[in-house]
Parts: sequence; C-alpha cells; structure tokens
Amino acid sequence: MKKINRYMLFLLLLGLMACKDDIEPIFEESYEQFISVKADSTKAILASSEYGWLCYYSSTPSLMAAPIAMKFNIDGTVKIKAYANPKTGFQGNLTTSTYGIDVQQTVNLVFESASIFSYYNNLLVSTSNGGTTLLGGGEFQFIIESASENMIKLRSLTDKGNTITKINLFPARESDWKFNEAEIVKMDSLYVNASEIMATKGYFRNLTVPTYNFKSYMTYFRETKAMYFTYSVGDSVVTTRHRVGVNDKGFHLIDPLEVSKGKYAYDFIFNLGTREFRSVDFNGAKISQSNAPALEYFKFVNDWGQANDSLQDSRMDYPVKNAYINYNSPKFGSLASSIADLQHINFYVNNKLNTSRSTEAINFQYNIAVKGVRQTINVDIPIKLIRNNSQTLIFQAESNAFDNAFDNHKNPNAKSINKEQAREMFKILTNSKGFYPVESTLYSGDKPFATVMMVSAEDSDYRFITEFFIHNTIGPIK
Amino acid sequence: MKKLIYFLILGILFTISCNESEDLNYEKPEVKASTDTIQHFVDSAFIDKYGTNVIWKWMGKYIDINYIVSPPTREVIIPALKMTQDLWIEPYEIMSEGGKKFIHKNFPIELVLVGSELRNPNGTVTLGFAEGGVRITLTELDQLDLTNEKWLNKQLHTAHHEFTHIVHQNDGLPNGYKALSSANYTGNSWTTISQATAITIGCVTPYGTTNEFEDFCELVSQFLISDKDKFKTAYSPLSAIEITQVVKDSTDALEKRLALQTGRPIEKIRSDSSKRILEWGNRVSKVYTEINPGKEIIQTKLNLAKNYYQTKFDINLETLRDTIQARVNYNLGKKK
Repeated sequence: MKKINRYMLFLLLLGLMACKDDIEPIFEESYEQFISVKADSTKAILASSEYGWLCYYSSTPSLMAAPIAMKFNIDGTVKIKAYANPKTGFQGNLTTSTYGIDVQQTVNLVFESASIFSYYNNLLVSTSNGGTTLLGGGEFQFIIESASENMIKLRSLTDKGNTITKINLFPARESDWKFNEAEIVKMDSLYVNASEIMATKGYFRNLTVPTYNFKSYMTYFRETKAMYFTYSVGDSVVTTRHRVGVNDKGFHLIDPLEVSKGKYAYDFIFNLGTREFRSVDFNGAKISQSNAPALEYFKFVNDWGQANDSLQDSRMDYPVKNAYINYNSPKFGSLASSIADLQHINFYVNNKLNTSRSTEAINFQYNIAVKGVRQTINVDIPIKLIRNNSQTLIFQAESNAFDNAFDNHKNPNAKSINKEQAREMFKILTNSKGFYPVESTLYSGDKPFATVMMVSAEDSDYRFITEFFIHNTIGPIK
Repeated sequence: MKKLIYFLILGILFTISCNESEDLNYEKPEVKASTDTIQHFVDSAFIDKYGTNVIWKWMGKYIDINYIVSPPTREVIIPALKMTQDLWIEPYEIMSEGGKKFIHKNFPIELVLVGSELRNPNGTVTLGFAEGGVRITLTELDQLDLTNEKWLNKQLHTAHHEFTHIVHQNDGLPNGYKALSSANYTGNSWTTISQATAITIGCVTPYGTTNEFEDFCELVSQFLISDKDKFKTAYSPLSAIEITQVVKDSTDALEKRLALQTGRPIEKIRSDSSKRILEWGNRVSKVYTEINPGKEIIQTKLNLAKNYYQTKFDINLETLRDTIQARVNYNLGKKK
C-alpha cells in the first residue's frame, strides 16, 4: 500500500512538473490582439493611398456608374466625393463619414454613417401604377476580398443570390477629386452619338491591343450602362458584357476585359485630337472610331443561314414595336414609324415561316386593322444576299423588285401601306455598300438575347437591332 | 499522519507548479479616446448620465442582416438624441424625484440608431423594437423633422412603447391588468383586427390585442403621445345622453347632405326619407353603444396604469403626458 502511495505521488509529481514546462503557445497573440492587428493593418492599407481610392458604383444598371473618390484616414474618418447624379437628384457633395473594420470570419469594411451608398439604399423610384418602390442597392457593408496598394476588392456582405455587388478600389490621383461633372455627361453620350463631341458619325469602335494581337469591337448601351466586346477566342467568337463607369476623361470597365490570360484592361481615356480612346493599362492599346468591326473573321457573316454546307432555317427580324426600339438610331426609327403600322422587317433565308417560300427575301410584315380586326400583311420582296467580305452583308434586289412585290401582292389591304415610305426604307436596306452586322447581347431582366446590330456602311445613322435566331450558327453567348 | 504529510507535500507542489503566471501574451488592446464630436455628445449626455451607450456608428451585430437598412446620417444623430432627451427623458426627470429615479433606472442600456426603415425582404417594414429590456432601436432617423407630426408621432410611439416594455419587464404589469382582456387577445392574428374591433375588446390599437404586454405598452404610449382631447374622443365611453347627441348630430348631417344632393328642403327630406334617416340613426346608436363596454375596459386599464405609475414610481401619467404634449406642440409650432 505504501508503495502504491509512493508511486502515485511520483506520478503526480511528474505530471505537475510537466505542467511547469515552458510550452510554446499555439497562437502568438490573443484573439483581441489578432483582431486589433488585423483591423489596424487593413486600416493602414486603406489610408496608405495619398489621394485615396477611386471606384465606380451604381446600384442599378439604369443609373450611370460614375466615379466615387474616397480618402480613408487612419482615425476612422473617410472623405467621400461622389458624382452628382441629375437623374436621381443626388447632390454629390463632399461628405465626411466614418468607417470601421469589422473582423469576423471575414475582414469587413463598414461605412458606419450614411454615405453615397445609403443614398442609393433609400432611393425611391416611380412604379407603373403610380406608386413608388425602392430602387435597390445601396450596400454599405463589404467583405474585403483582397487588399493591396494597387487594388482593393470589395464584395457586398449583405447581397444574396446572383446579384452580389462587387466594387474595385484603385489608387486615386489628385485629379480624380476634381472631376468635371458636365464632362461626365458629355462622355456618357459620346459612345452613343459621337457627333455630340466630334462632328463625325460613328457608332462602335474597334479595340486593338497590338502587343497581344487582340482585336475586338465594342458596343455601348447607355440605358443599361453595359459595354459589349466581341472578339475571337481560339476558333470561336465570343461577346462579353462589362458594366461601365463613365468619368470625365473616358470610361472605366467595372468588369475588366481580359485581353490576354491574366491581363486585364480597365481604363480608357478619350483623346479628341486622335479621336480614339487610349488604354491606361496597355501601352498602344486603343479604341478607334470606325463603323466596321475590327475582326477579320466574322463568323456571323460567313455562316449566317448556313451550317454543314447547307442552308439553315434562319431568320432575322427587325421588330419596330418592341423594347429594342430604344437601341435603334432615331433616324431609322422615325422612318420605320412613318410606314403604316409596320411591325417587322424580316430577312428570311430558307425560312419555313416565309409565306412566299422564297429562300432569300426581305419581308415587310405589317399589322393593320381591317374592320377593327388586326391582320398581318406580308409583302415579300426577293433579294439576293451577298456576303461582300468578312465584314459586310449586302441585300441586293432587282430594280423593279419593290414595285413588282407591291403590284403583285394579292392582299388588297396592302394598299393601306405607305408605299413611298416603304420604298425609302427598302432603298436604305438595299444600299450597295451594305451593312455591318454586329453581334451583340441584350438582356431582358437577366435573360440574354442574342441580337445583331445592323449598321449601314453608307450612313451609320441608320442602324437597328434585330433579334437573331442563331443557335445553330454562332453558339452560346458568353 | 503520513498520509496527511503526503497530501501537504502534494498541495505545496501543486501550488508551486501552477502559480507561475502563464504567459498568454495577452495585452488588453488600448482604447483610444474618440475625437469625434458626436461621440463626445454621447459620452456626456448618455454614457455618463444614464450609463446608456448609443450605437450610432453602424455595427452589424445589432441589426439582423436580413433587413434592408442604412446607417444614420451624421447630421441627424445629435438632433435625434436631443429629441430623446426633450421628449422622452426630461419629462420624467422634471416630473418628480421618483420620475428621475425611474428614468435613470429604466432607460435602456443601449440605444441603437438606424437611418432608414427596417425593411424586410418581403417589402414589409418593422418598426423600432426593444430587446430583453436593455436595448431600444430607433429607425427612420434620416427623415428627422420635428415639425412633421406624423414622423414625430412615429418616433415617440416607438420610444414610449418600447420603453414601457422595459418597465413591465423589470417591474411587472399592474395587478389585475391581464385579466381584463385575457380572453380576447388575438396573438399573431392582430393584423386582421380593425381599430373598432380592437376598442370593442378593450385595446387601444389592433397591435395591442396581441397579448397583455403589447396591450399595456400600446395603452401607455398612446396615452402619452396623444393629444388629450383626441385620446378622450377616441377611447372614453359615452353616456346615454352623449350617444343621443351623437346620433342627432349624425342624422342632422345626413339630412343636410341629402338636401344638398337633391335640392329639396330639409323638411321634405325628413318626411320623404324618414325611414332611411331613422335606420341611419339606429346604426350609429348601435355602433356607439356596442363599443362602449370596450371603452370602459380601456378606462379601467388606464386607471390601473395611472395608479401603478403613481404608487410604484411617483409618476403622474397625466402630468407626464401634458409635459410631452406641450413640448411636441412647441416643436410642431415651429413649422412655417
């Protein structure tokens, strides 16, 4: 028994002595210290940029994404200058707010008092039934995904689902705090109507990055604040959509364009002298004013209506009376409207829907009220489709094709159509210089629609969007 | 004895081995004094006086992440806090020593300020709320306008309603209060209750029909923030003579309207439409007669509440109401 007691005492002694050993702590600092150090180091990065940071934010595509300059100070204050948005009435004054770094599972940047973001959060917009609803957006708590002296990537803490707001902060320059608001509005219109700034016509522009042999054309939709770049990737042509922030010197791609693997283009500055946009990110990269697409190989032109060496059931139709009318040029739109109740101009190739069964035809389709009942009247005009080169399509017709089509039309109601206006339209469509067909993507909500913008090579003020049923000719839109 | 020595040795060894300070590298983070003027105001007017921390800088943990919200604008924070002093704290403090003790004891430990509404993802709005008797959240402060009766009433309603929750959570309800409407509380179905039905069952608002606690908070807060005459008109039972007068006023108004619409003299209307006028009068009489028992319950509850505040806290609810109303009217009078 005595031995057992001694053994026990010995064992206990060993155990207690072990307890005294200097054991290296698993963590070198306490939790509070970890939080404090993490928060301080994040604040240090935020405060490191001499002139603060520049970002572009819009709570919804219908509002212009415009510059927001922010100077974070180490004491927790942040000075913010945001673009005064005339569309929403936002004054855009220089404001001072406070921010905090909240270290949880993620390191979060929180704008602790109301700021530009709160403004958007409270913004009400009119509804179709005369009421108001919240516009949406206005996040003010962000997860810091990464932070370096060159870029800070933020992701909304509170957004859920597929529409999570992401904001990139770039080091601001002194001049970023002095942006000219009138110039921003002017720049916003530049992409839609260059003639407002330059006394020349031009709709889309070619993007070339010689260093990487990158060629693309871009289109810009002012209403959705989206820019589309179409370019070759391997054997296929892709169109990518990019949200755009417009500033007083050019534009910033909120979703950058990957020019080469891991190489992204963000900023372009407009040069009135050379009439081009120069990339800030890539030396020599420029977007020049031209109506012709930059791509030398354009699959749409080569393959439209054909697949596996045979004609396909393809159709383009220009719907006069639908949402796309906003994307058409005013000049073309007003001409279309002048033709009585014109609903569609269809371009058929071997299309079963073509009432005349012609394999190549322009088809004017009208809705017209006959004794109070709407009827569709088709006037089919035979054309020859010529793929002139890799960039243009020409719709060629016999000189008397138009008159013949109307004169021979069996439907007496065709007489109701304003023939002279229709002839004018037909002339434009059959211009010998043809059209540049530009693939693009529009969105109805989140649903993408493949479309083609047809731009007259003769007069770029004549341009229109067509719905393009291209599943078997172009493939998926990226 | 030997065993005792063993244990003694063990004890000494244990103490020696474990009393060495464990080097956990813990250093309490240094708290730097704020240089912010808003924080200075909060420190002097709330933390030092009432031990109340005002959460005016956004801290995610205080508001459910599912709400769609925005933090308050800096410019409204001090005016909003002054409003709570003027229309919430001070009326208690100047009431009596009891009132002073009461507000110091019960004023929430935390006051959370939100700039926007608390919008739910389904589009509905949650008003301010109290949590566990320690925290009250005030919302929509970015709309701050002390001359806007609707906004001001909403804020005061939230403040006094939620504050009354803290009171009953700390001190309970007046004796006998719960029994007065216990059979009629509707729980979550209160949204289907009309204002008239609520009064019929002895509650001042539909929300008050939820349970005895919401009932009590609605009664006290409505009493404090309502104009004296308006509260009386809405919730005081009518005598038989008063009901007769209401019926007469109502039928007179109907006769005048019919005369105006048809262009005939009132005497003619009375003779031609006597049945319709009589039916209308009976209907009005029925409504006022049927709602009377509910109003009597409300009066009984109000008397219980007044007595409870007076005897327990030395607070005269009527005087308190008059002080708040005088200050509210002073603010509303500033409207150009």
